[in-house]
Amino acid sequence: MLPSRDLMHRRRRLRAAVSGDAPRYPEREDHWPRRALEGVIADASPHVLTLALADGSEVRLPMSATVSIWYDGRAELAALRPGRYAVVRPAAAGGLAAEQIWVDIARVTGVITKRAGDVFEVDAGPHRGRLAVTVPAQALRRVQVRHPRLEPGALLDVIGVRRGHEVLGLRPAHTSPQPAPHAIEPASRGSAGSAGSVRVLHGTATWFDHPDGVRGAAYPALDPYGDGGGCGTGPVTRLPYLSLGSVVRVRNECTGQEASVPVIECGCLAARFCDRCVRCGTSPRGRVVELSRSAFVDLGGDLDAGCFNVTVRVDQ
Amino acid sequence: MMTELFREVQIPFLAAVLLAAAAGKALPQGRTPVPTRYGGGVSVLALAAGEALLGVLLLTTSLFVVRLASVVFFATATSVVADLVRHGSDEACGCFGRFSTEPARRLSVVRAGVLTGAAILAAGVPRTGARILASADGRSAALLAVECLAFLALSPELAAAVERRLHPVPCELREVPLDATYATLRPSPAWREHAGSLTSAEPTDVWRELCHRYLVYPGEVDGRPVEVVFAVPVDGGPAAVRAGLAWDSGWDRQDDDSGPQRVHSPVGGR
Repeated sequence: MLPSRDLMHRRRRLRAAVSGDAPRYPEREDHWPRRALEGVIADASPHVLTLALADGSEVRLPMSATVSIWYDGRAELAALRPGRYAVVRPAAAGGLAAEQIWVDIARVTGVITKRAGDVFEVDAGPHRGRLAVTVPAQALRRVQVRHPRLEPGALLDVIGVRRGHEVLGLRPAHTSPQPAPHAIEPASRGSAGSAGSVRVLHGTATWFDHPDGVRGAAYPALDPYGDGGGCGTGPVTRLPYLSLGSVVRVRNECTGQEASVPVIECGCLAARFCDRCVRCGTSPRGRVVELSRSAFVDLGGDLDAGCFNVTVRVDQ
Repeated sequence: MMTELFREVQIPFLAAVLLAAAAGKALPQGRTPVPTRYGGGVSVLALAAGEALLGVLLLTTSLFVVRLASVVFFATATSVVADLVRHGSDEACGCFGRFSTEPARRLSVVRAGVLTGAAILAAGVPRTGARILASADGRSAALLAVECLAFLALSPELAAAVERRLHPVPCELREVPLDATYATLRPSPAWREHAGSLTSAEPTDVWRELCHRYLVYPGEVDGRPVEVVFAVPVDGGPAAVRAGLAWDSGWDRQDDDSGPQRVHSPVGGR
């Protein structure tokens, strides 16, 4: 399979060959609203943070006076130790001044397959495989507020800290309880009436741990046939079908920021979560898109909050 | 007398059901696969032929073997459908071919069970279906009509058809298997126009966006490599299929260039 950006351009070009239109490219990467940076901390001082990026380059970021650091909750500068992984949001004013830094943040989303004491094995879907997460005793009660049944077969979504190869799940990523199945409304008949409204999804955006730190989205309804990249099973919720390399226009309803994001993966399990995001009002439906860390932060999301309310247009 | 009449009416009724099921399966778009668990090499067409044969035999002979075969057939169908429902499978029973596309439900089991009961009732009737129909009077016609109505009421296919008519699923949300796409593509004028320039019968890329599925085939036009792209609509007929040629991007730049031949050119550069 081609890398996602090449695949996106290739499919756009081929699609344009049929439609006769010139291929419309989404804005180039440098037009993203505010570009998040992520990499391994090479050095940190009270005024400058040096990050080693995935492409091998190093970048020095001045620290803004109001910088906020997250490391299992609000942390001090001491959390910025060399070797840890940081996701940085620059200040809104422009430039590279770091305004918000998340250190070693990790998220595990999936179905519990095994439990041994406080260690859970979680099936994160066909693309992401099985992950191990430890929920320490002091965090257990907090996690159980949203996940009362911590047993094999139950859904789990926790945000925590990565320590070596281990993930410590410290808080539930759900912001609302999972409603009972009978409480979930099907996509309303009225909204299915016109083509426009079927292609505009109002719901929740969450983020997922993509190991490469790319900008992209995981979409739950990828075509399961051909080279669409689907999960093999149909989506649980009714969403318009897309494929890898499709582009969705994502708008953060809480901040108004929006950007076009390429689909790089199938969000196989997203549709099984029926929680609502309550960052700014209650999202009308559950998870319609998962964003990679950078894309989520670019669009104004706070990784530790786990979600934002979103409008996704799929007809780009 | 009334019981006798009721038993007799079952023969033409069952024959009609069998013939309808056979027709539903044999229709070109109706060849949905037999539930995989029971597939075992049985093609849908063979099943349809068996049903048609049984239906015709019910009408033309009064052999006990045929009656017994119908009982066995419906009993088997009941167990197959019951098994699908019990396992919570999403597979359709495919009982009436393309009309039975919804996952099997309890109602389907009840219907198959009722048909088995009807076959048992009719097992001992001495006359052939054709004779019964020939000597039918108003009462038996009314009985037959009532029975057909009851049958329709037990049919999830009818409810699904009404539902589809009232609330059609938008094409963006409709799941469409590849076979259906090929069935639309192959007879299309766009395919006929470009089939000659294709160098492979297998597409190199197949993906779907909203209401279209795109298929890319390698081809050659005037000695130049080209990619032929077909856009097959999810809800349109063969006439709505469109095609286009995508030249390898390296060739555009090389048209009037006497420079060295570029052998490998990147596809879809930024």
